[in-house]
Amino acid sequence: MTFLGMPLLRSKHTDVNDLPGGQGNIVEDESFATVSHKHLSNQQLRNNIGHATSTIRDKRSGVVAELDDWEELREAGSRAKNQVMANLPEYLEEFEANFTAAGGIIHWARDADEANAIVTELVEANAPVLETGRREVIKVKSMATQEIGLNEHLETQGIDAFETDLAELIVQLGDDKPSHILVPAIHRNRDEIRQIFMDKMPDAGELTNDPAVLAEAARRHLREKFLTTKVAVSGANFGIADTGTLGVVESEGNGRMCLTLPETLITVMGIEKLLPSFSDLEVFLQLLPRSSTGERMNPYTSFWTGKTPGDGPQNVHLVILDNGRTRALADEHGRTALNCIRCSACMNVCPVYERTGGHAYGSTYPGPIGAILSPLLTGVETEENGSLPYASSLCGACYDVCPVKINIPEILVHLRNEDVEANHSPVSSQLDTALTGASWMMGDGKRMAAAEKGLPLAHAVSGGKSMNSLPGIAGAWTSSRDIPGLPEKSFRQLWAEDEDRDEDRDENGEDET
Amino acid sequence: MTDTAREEILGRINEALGRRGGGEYVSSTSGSAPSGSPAASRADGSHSSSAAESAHPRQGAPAAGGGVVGQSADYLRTGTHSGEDLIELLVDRLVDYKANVHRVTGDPAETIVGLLEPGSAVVVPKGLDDTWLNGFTGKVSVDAPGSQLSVPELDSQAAVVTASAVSIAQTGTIVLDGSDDCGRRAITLVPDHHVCVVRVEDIVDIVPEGISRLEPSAPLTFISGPSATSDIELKRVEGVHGPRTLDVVIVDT
Amino acid sequence: MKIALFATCIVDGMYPEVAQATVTILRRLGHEVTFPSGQACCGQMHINSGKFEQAEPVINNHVRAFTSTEWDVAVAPSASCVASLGHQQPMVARRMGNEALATAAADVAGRTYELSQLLTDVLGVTDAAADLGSYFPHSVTYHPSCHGMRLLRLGDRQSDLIRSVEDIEFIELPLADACCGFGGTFSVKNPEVSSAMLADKARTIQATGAEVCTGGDASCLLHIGGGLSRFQRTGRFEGTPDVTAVHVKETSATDIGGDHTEHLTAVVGADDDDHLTAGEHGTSPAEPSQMQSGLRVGASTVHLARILASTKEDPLRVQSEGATVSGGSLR
Repeated sequence: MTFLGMPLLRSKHTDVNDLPGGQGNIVEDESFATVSHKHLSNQQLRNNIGHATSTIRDKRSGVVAELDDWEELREAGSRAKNQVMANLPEYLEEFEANFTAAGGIIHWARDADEANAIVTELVEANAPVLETGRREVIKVKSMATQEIGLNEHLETQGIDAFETDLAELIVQLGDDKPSHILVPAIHRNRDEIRQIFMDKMPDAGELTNDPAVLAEAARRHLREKFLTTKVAVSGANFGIADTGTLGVVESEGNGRMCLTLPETLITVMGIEKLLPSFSDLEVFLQLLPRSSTGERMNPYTSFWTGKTPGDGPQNVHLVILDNGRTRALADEHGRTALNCIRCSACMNVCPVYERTGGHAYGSTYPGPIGAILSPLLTGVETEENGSLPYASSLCGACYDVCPVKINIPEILVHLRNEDVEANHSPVSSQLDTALTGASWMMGDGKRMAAAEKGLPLAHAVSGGKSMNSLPGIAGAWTSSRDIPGLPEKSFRQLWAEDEDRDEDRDENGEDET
Repeated sequence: MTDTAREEILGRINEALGRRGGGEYVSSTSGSAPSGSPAASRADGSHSSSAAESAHPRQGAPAAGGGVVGQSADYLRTGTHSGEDLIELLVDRLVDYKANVHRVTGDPAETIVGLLEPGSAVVVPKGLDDTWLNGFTGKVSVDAPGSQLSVPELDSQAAVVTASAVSIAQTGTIVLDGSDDCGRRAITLVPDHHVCVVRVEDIVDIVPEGISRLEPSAPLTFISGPSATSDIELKRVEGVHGPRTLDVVIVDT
Repeated sequence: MKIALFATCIVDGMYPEVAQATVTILRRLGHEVTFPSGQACCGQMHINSGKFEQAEPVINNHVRAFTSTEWDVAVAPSASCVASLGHQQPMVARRMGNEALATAAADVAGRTYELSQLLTDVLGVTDAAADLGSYFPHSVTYHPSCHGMRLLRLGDRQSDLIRSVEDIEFIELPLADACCGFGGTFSVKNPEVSSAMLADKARTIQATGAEVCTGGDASCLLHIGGGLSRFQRTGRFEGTPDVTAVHVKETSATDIGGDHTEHLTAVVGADDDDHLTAGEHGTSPAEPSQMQSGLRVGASTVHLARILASTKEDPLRVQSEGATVSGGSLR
C-alpha cells in the first residue's frame, strides 16, 4: 500500500512574505552556533545564569504546585489568547473605542521607525527642554520599546530616557544589553553590579555588594527623577478590550511612579497584548506572576482606563505596534507564539539558554520563545534569524512550563522547515547530503537492509572498536564524544537468520532444543 | 499618518487571518456605538477563518460582560476558605511577603495610631473614617479633589493611612480602587510607610473572587507586600521605590 | 498477543542486542513477536531537521511496513521514536498534503507503545523480578529521556520497572530531568552547546558512582555513553571552550563523596580502543599516553530492555565482569 502525496492538496497558508517583517532589536547578526561559542567560554556568565535560573525554577515550581487548577488555568489562558488572535481586528476596535471614550489617545505604528517617531513627537510636545538643552523621560521596563530601540532613537533626538527598573538600570548604566526578559541583568552578579554603580552613580558613595544596599542606591539615584519628570514611557502587560483598560505588572514601584506621577504617559503596546474581557484577568493574574517571578502575586499591579480626573496623568497616549506581528499572525503554524505573555519561564528552564545566556540570541527576546518569535517577526530569511530555530535540543521543557501552552518545540520544527525551504544554500552541507541519502535509504526497508549488509565490513575495518575521531560532520560529534563500534550484524539480519533456522528446523522436523 | 497606519495594520491582520482575501479593511463596528457589541460580529461566522476555527474549538462570542475564558475552562471560581481560616490565610500570605499584619476587633484607632510616629506628618484620603486617627498627635493632611498635596508635599509625609477595596487571601493581595477612602494613587506611593486597613468583609479567598468585585474603569492598584526586587541574583529584597513599610490592619467590626 | 516490533533505525543498526532483549522479554511473557520486514525509521531525524519533504517517504515506508502485516499492538524500545509516530508523522503528512498518510500514520501510532508503556499499561507487568525473572545485581542510575518524560508522559513507568529488578541497586540521578544535549541533529548543528549539556549530564552520572546508566532511548544512551567514554579516556569533559578540566580524582573527592570512591577505583575498565581514523577535520582527543589507568573508571550506558532481559541463568555482564564497553555503551 502506498500513500501517494497529492501536491494539489498541499496545505497553503497565507504567504507570509506578503506582510512586512519587523525591524529593530530582533535580529541575530551571526549564526547562533557562532555567537554561542563566545558566550559558552565565559565561565562567569555560565555561573551567574546557572545560579539565577535554578533559583527561579525552584520558586516557580513551588508556587505552581500550590494551585490544584494550574492545568485548567493554562488551558483557559491559551483559549483566551487564541480567541484574541482569531478576532483581533474586532478586539482592537473595541479596545480603541473604550480607551478613547475614557480620554486616552491612540496612535498606530506599522513598524519600529513609525513608533519611535510618534513617541518622539509626543515627548517633544510635552517634556520641557532642560538647562542641559535636552529633554528627559522616565521609563518603566517594556519589551516593546526594547524591541524598537526607542531609547537609542530618543537619544539621537535630544531626549534622555531613564530606565527605572533596577535591572534595566544596571544594563543601561553598564552600556550593556538585556539578556533576559524578566531579569535583564541576569548575566551580572552582585560584584559586577556594585562596580557599575560605583562607576556610574557619582553620588552613591561607597557601596557593598549586598543586594539591599544596591537596591537602596538605585532608590536614591532615581527618586528625584520620579518626582520631577513630566513624561513617562511604559509598556503594557495587558490591554482589556471590553473596558479599554491597560495594565502593568511590576515589583519595585518604579512602574507605579511612572504611571502615576508624570503629567503625560505614553504607552507602547503590541497588537497581540489584548485580552477580551476584564474578567479574563482572573486567569492571567494567576498565570503571569507564578510563571514569571515565582511569586503568588507580584508586589504591584496597576490598571488604568484612559485618564481619571484628579488621579494620575491627564495626557494619556497609547501607541499600538505591529512591527512584524501581523507577519507572525499570518503563519498559521507559528501564530500561537503571539500568545506569549512575556513571563520568561521558558528561558528559565531551557538547557540551551542556561549555557549560552540571552545575548547569544541577538534579540530582545532570548531563549525558546525568542528562538521562535524573532524569526516569526522578521522571517527566517532575515540575517541569521534562520539559525535560531536550531538552537534547541527539542527537550520540551519550555512547552511544559508555558502558562499559555505555546507548543514551542513544534513551532521550532516548523520554522526549521521554513528555513529549509527559504534558505536553500547552493552548496549542500555534509549534513544535508547525509540526510538526503538517509531519506532515500529509509524510504524503503529493502534499501535499508541492503545498506546494513555493509555492517560486517565496517565492523571488520573498525574491529568493532569505538570510533573516537572522525572527519567532517562526524568530527563535530567526536570532538567531545566517542561512538561505539558497529555491530557485526544488524538486528534485521539476525532476525532473518533466526527465521531461516526456524524454517530449517520445521522442514527437518527437528525438535526445539 | 496614523489613520493610514490604523487602516493598514487592521488590513494586514485581516490578510493574516485569511479573511476576504485580505487587504481592504472594513470596519466591523461601523454604524454601531463605539463600545457597542463587537461580540455580534465575532459571532458572525463569516469572520472566522478556517485556521482560526481549527485552532479554537470553542470559539464563539463571549457572553456580554463575561470573560471568554470564563465560559469553558474548569479552573476554580471560588475558594474553599471562610471565616477564621480565610483571615489566617491572608495573614500568612501577607507575612510571607514581609508585610506587617495587625488584627483588631472593633475600633482600629489605637492600633493605627500606634503604628504612626508621634508628631509626624500623615496624609489620608478625604473619605477615610476620621475616628481612625483619634488620639494621633501629629499633623494630618487630608488629600481631596481641589486640595491635593503636591508631589514634594507627599514626599515629606512620614506615612499614609488608607482603607482598601478588596483583599485576596490566597495571594496576599490588597486592592486599592481610588474610591474616597482609598484615595488617589499617588498618596499611597510617595510616602515611605503605608498603613492600610482591611475590613474583614472585604476579604475573598482566590483571585477570580477578587476580580469580580472590582470596577474596571477605576484606577486600580494591586499591592502584595512592600515594594521588592529580585533583580540581583534573583535574591528578593524588600523596599525599593514604593513604600518600604507596609502595615496591614485587619479590622473585624 | 501478537506484537509487532519496531526496532528503530538506531537499535537495528547499532544496538541489535536491545531489540533482541525486547523480543526475549515479550516471549518470556508468552507473546508472539513479529518483525515487519519493510521497516526502517520513524523519520524524526528528517522532521527535526526541517526536511519534511524528505521525511515523507520515510513515514510512508513506516506506515506501509506496519499496515502490510497483522498484529495486535506494536512496540519500540524508544520513547522518542514512539513519540514521533504520534506527534510528528501525521503533522508532517498533513503538511505535505497527504491526508491518507496522516490518517494511516495516526492509526499505526495509536497502536504503538514504548516498551515500558506496553509492559505496564497493556501487559500488566508491575514487578520485573516476579513477572520477567529480571535479575541484575549491580548499581544503576537512570536517565529519563526528554521525549519519554514530556511527550509520552511515561512518569515512573520505566524507573518502577528498573527498581523492581532483583538485587538491583538503584541510585537516583541528580538533575535527572535535564536534557543530555543530544537532540538529534542539534548535536551536529550546535555541537558546543550540546557538548556543554552532555558534560553536565556525564558529570552527574559519574558522580553517582553507578556501574551503569540506563534509560529507554538508545539515542540518548549512545550520546551519554560517548561522553562518559571520552571522559574516562581523557579525564576531561570536552567539547566546550574553556570548560574546566575535571580530573576524575578531584571528582571523586568533591562530587562523588567518599561512599563511592572505593567502588570507582575497583571498577577499572580495559578500554584500549585505538582511534579508528584521525581525519584532518577531526579533533584529536588526548593521546593515550596522557591517560592514567586510574582515569578509566565509571559508568557505561545500557538500555533498560537489556536489564529487564537479564536473568540469573543468563545474566547481563558489566564491565567489571569482563564485558566489552565500546564508545561508553555496554555490549
